[in-house]
Amino acid sequence: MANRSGPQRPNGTAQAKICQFKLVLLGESAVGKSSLVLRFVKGQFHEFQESTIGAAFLTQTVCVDDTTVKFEIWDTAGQERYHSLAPMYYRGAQAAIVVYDVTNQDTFGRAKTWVKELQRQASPNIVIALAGNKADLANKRSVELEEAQAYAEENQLLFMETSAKTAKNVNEVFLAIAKKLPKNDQNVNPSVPVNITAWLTICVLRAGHF
Amino acid sequence: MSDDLPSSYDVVVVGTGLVESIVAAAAARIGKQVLHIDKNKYYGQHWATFNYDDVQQWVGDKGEAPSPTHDPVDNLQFLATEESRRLVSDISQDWFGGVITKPKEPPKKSEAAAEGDAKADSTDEAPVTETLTADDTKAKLASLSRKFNIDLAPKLLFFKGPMVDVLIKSQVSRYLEFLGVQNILLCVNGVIELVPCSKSDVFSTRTVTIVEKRLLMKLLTTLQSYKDDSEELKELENSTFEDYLKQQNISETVQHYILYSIAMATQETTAAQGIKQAQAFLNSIGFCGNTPFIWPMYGTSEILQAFCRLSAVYGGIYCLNRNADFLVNVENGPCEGVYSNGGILKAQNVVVSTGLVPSCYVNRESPSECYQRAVLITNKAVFPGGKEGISLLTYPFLDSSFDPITLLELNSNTSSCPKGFFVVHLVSRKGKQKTPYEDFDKLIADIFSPSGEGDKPTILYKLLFTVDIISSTQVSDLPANVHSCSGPRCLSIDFHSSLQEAETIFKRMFPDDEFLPTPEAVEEVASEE
Repeated sequence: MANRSGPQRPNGTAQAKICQFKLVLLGESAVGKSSLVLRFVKGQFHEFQESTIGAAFLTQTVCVDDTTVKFEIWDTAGQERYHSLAPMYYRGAQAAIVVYDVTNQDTFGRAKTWVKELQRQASPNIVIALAGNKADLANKRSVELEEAQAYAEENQLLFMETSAKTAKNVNEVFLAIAKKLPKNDQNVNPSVPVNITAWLTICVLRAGHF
Repeated sequence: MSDDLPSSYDVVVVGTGLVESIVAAAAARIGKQVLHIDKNKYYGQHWATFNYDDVQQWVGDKGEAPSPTHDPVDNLQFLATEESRRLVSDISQDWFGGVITKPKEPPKKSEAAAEGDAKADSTDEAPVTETLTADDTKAKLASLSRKFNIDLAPKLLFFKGPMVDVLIKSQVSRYLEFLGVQNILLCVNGVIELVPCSKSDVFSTRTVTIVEKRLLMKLLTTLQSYKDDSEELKELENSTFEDYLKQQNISETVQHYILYSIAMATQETTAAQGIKQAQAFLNSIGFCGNTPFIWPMYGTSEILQAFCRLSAVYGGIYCLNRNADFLVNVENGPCEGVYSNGGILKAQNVVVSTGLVPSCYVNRESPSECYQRAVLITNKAVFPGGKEGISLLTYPFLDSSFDPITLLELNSNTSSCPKGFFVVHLVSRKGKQKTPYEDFDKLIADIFSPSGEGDKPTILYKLLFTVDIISSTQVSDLPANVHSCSGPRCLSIDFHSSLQEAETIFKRMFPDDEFLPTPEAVEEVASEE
């Protein structure tokens, strides 16, 4: 990995490096965005997954070499349905998974639109993975593997066909993203904002209030 | 109907201003079925944050024709929501030439560095400068459009203020990032000074003598000691804060610090009010640096978008780019809901921006809150002696010819602009000016210089507009289940009044429910931590 930087810790303690990243999910309604996350985070699958309610975001960690990569995974909360996703959703996202349904050509078309939207709106360094979900229904497929693969290559996206139902490639897609993310030292630089909760917590602890 | 929206709701919210968005979040949070729509393609209405191209569109937008009226059907009458009467007037913009310092471009990742989100900090060697003509500036800004986040209604949060409390309690804060404001400045007689705000500031400041330091310390402590609703405070309701300070045995400079910067008061502010405002300021000191304020990264619109996200997370349905008319029973009954996209959407409650309330309910005679705004894009910080970061400057007119102007300067750390630029917001009350923006002209002449003489910043772009907010107190006789929400009150620096308004509307609809309670612990972390 080209980007792994930072000298060894001088005191030689074997403290693992932890890097935290915001990952956003995009894609049409009902392509299985939430199912992918649930499978990845909890190892669960529900045939009739309700539209996402109640979770701000989920977190899950994966290990890449000596680094623990912690994903803060944001779901669209349904705001994509009427094309009303708030721009704040993309803010500061370092990774995105754009999901389509291999049995539904329209969702692949929409996935391309989401990729364009990300390239327009999100940080230029964002790592994007394209996931053709519902690969367990490959006999009903309407999006060919080669077609999606070619598109992904053209646009320098990571690409996998996944199945939240069978767990095929679910961990793999997150791991592939984790490997591609630059794991610089995330030392807190006072002029760079950090997540407010963490920051407020620090301030609050320091001040001994609340 | 042309789409698959459910046809009935507990609450339909029309408009995505801050108050509306907080109400939508609070209602969805307690399990109410919420539909939130906005006729614009963007969130926030008069609270929006725009990139440079969006600003150009907004300036060019002359307001739409009112939606067609419909014939009454079955005793129901359609009332068009109106925004044809624009609340914004006297808009103008100008571009100027100037010299900008180009950010050093690290190899390859040039985009990332300019984006301002990267850690790729350039350790500048010799700064590279670029001289722009007015036309160059115009082209440059257009080419950097997306790197600007320009607020129509810039506002700050008091670190210990009620908005921060609600953000933390509701966990909406998890969607947001903030930066501390670094410098509190005061410009009197053309001279900019750093205002000592905290006790340690007072201790280290060089603009105040030792004797005065003691007096100032004592006064700051006294100001904080007044109790709400105490007799002492009540007695101070009939005098001005300015007079109160004059009796305190402190120099004029120190009086100005407290009056204009710490209390953010005017010559007319009562002593009781001034003390309360000073308390809000002083109580938030010492948590996030030496000022009491934090600024939402990417602009104020992020805050309302974060509330909208909470609403969506709890099942609220979001539809931008969609208009709605009211559906009112002609017999003066309750509002039945809204009429949108050719279909009827029934609602128990309708929440709407005052700016969209049919004009028959708006009393335009009663006084409204009117303010002037300027957005400047500049090339240097107004106070080079300060810390790098956000500065809040007050520009009072000691002869009372105008109300004080509030200036907020944002640098590239805030993501308001790319490196090498600054975004400066001006706000002042409209009233005493004989011609629009004449108070701004005085400030600009003092603080900025077209040629950059004396190390002053140069204005590269200037947008001026006047906003006439309709307050919900000007709206009357609405059906009892319709609730109107005021637009941004920019004359107060924080979000307090909007938050109060949202809570009041929520309590009117759901008197027995908690306002934005903390989410029950959602099992979030699956693996080890």
